[in-house]
Amino acid sequence: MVTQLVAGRVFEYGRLIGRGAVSGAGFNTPIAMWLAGEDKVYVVNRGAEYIPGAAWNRNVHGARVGVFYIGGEDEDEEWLSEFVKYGDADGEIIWPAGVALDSRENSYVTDEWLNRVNIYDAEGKFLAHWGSTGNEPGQLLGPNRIRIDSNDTVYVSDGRNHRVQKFALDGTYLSGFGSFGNGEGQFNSPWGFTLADGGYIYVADTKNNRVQKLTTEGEFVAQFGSHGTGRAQLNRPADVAVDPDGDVYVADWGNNRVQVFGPDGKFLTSFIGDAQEHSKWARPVFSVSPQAIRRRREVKDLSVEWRLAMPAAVEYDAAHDRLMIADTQRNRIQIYNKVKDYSLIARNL
Amino acid sequence: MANQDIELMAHLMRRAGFGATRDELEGRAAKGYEATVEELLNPEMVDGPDRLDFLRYQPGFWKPPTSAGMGGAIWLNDMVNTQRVLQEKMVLFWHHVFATGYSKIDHFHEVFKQIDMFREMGMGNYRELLVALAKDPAMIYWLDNCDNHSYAVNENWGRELLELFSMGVGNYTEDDVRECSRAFTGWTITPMIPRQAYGRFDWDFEYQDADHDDEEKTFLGHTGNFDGEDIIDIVCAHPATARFVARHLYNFFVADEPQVPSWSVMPPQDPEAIELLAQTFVDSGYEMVPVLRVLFNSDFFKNARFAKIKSPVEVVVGTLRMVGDYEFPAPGIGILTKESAYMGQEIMNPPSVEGWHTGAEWINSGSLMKRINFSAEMVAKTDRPGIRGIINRLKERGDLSAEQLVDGCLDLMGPLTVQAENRQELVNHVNESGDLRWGDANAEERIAEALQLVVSLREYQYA
Repeated sequence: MVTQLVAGRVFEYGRLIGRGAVSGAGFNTPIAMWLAGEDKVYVVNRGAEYIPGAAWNRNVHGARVGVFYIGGEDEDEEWLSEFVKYGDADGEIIWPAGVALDSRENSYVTDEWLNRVNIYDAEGKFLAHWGSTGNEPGQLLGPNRIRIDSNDTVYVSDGRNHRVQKFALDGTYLSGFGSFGNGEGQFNSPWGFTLADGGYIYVADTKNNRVQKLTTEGEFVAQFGSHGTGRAQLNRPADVAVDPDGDVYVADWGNNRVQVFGPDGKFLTSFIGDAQEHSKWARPVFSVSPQAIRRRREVKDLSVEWRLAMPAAVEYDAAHDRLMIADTQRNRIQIYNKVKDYSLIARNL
Repeated sequence: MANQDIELMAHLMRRAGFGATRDELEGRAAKGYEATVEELLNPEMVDGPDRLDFLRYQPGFWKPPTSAGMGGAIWLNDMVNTQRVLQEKMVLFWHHVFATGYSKIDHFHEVFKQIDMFREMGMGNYRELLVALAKDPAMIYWLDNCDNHSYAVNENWGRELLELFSMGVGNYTEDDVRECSRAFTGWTITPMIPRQAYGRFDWDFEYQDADHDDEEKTFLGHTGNFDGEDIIDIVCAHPATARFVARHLYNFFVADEPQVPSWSVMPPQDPEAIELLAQTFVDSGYEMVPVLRVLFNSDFFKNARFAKIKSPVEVVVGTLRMVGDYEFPAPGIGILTKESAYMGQEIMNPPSVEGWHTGAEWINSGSLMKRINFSAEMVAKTDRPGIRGIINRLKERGDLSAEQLVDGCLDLMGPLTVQAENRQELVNHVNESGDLRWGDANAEERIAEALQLVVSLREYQYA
């Protein structure tokens, strides 16, 4: 089912971008995204420990932030550039976890191991970093997702401190909210979040298996989700996106799906992945090995290849009415469109 | 609390688990020995490892590439952090017996699925475990049962099922191997989506009726139109199987036996113990828990202290659990996984289907150095909770003479009983710096040094 009609909405599978790659056109465990202007997307690749015999701060490959042009149509995608290198020296990152751009197009990339935020200019040149390890206000322990609002206020999901903190661009601490627990406004290892119209923030309260809606000052508004694998249940939600209609998209990471909720928190539908066609960058890979071509023809059910595997990030692109899903373990991005002009007159075909 | 209670509990936890801190030993000793055994036999009473927590921070270990050989990190993390220690020890036990390696399979995650299967079934029924093993994709590929056809029999799985997984050499004929293999024709795996642009995919078990030899077979004196499960039923009912499984348990949990290939010619060191375990195995209908209960509560187990040389995995996991603060899957955990490999035991990559040679064969000049260097490096970390616990307990005893310091360290690292001359060597060395006074700036450094000396002792290599 690539088109879903539900409660007055139409969701349609759109397209696939990416393939596994340690640099250039592709991804390596993409775990966070930032939609920039002009159809550009910044993708945080966590990378993987891979190199035996190397020191712990030199043994990962694939960790980077990739910059891509996505465009509006199939096959528009292009790799533009990448920055960030694995390591613990200035400008390097051990565990890249989130990226956001300020109004001057400088990039802020979180390192959830070194507990700092690195700043790079538009060309990817390292400028500075801020952040220190600890649990005092303004300190960080496991900073992961980061967002910057139109006033250049920086929001950081301070995961292992179980809170969200706000900073100025230079790292000056402004305020914060949340503490460890499962009560209203409390968190257990918060991960992705999104800033929504009206001064709200939606937080993936990961180990509480719920999404919380709060004001950006931290006042509790609502919550939805409970632990499980059924409809509307969540298993370690990783991220949230909200579209202009108020529909909420939750990266249900541990359940290998994205769940869609209405503005009132009512469950609408799920996306489980529909990547039946190979991506532009993947096609050459599939065409070079006669042995692999032969083996693929033997496979009885290819549908597992279409499915999402631990999607860690969702971004709603209002300019194109589409949801971008980081299909983390499959090293790709699946896109679903929210179709506004859908019609099928003959309902009795 | 009587020290013999602590010593006995430490023995149990070294064997049924991966060791325990003094705090844990005291807590368990207060509950009692038999109550602790029951707790270990019922793993659902406590939490298992949190796999999603690991992948949250280390997503690259999900179906990882094999070339670098670091894919055992998740299992290492499980062993270091699980509270279900006997369950995890049984996973390691079955991995020893049903040795399967990524070196041939080339997919860490398929071996890891087998490891997960051992966790789910390893304390259950042996017959059911053998059936699951026969259907396990990693095993099917490892022992070529995917090439075992009705029109062209491959005997690899059939032979090892009898030789290494159930009865042992000397209890069957070459004809039995052939007939057994015929019964497993058609037990195969589905073609896997090739690893290309989107990472790795899974194998699944598939029974191909069209490729199964459904003619009559004669196996171990039984004749019929046998399928694989019929063979497993006959194997389980054979007395040799109970003795074989019992001897494996004895070798793993009680005391070092000769290597498996010599079992057909070398009798067990404690035939009565083997018979008791074997009879329990039969009486329970091949259930593992009753056998383990008898084993851990027996005198032959309780009296077998330090009768086994620790496997490299026991050295690494036991040391990490003792030092503490490895709950979080920090960067470099893949490198940590290699440590036991440097000592001669790379998990998920045994040298052959026969598994690892154990006992004294763990030790050579290279592996011994690796064991000592690794342990010494770890116990020198005075900021780690386990080492801090030792330091704090020693502090409670006030300033210490060299003898008190050495005896205190030996006590808190075991308790370890060491040869008199070894103890005296340590005392002499510590005494070069005189008594330990807690006001001295290097007091904790001297403790770390004493602990490093303890882990370098011969006795520390024994479980």
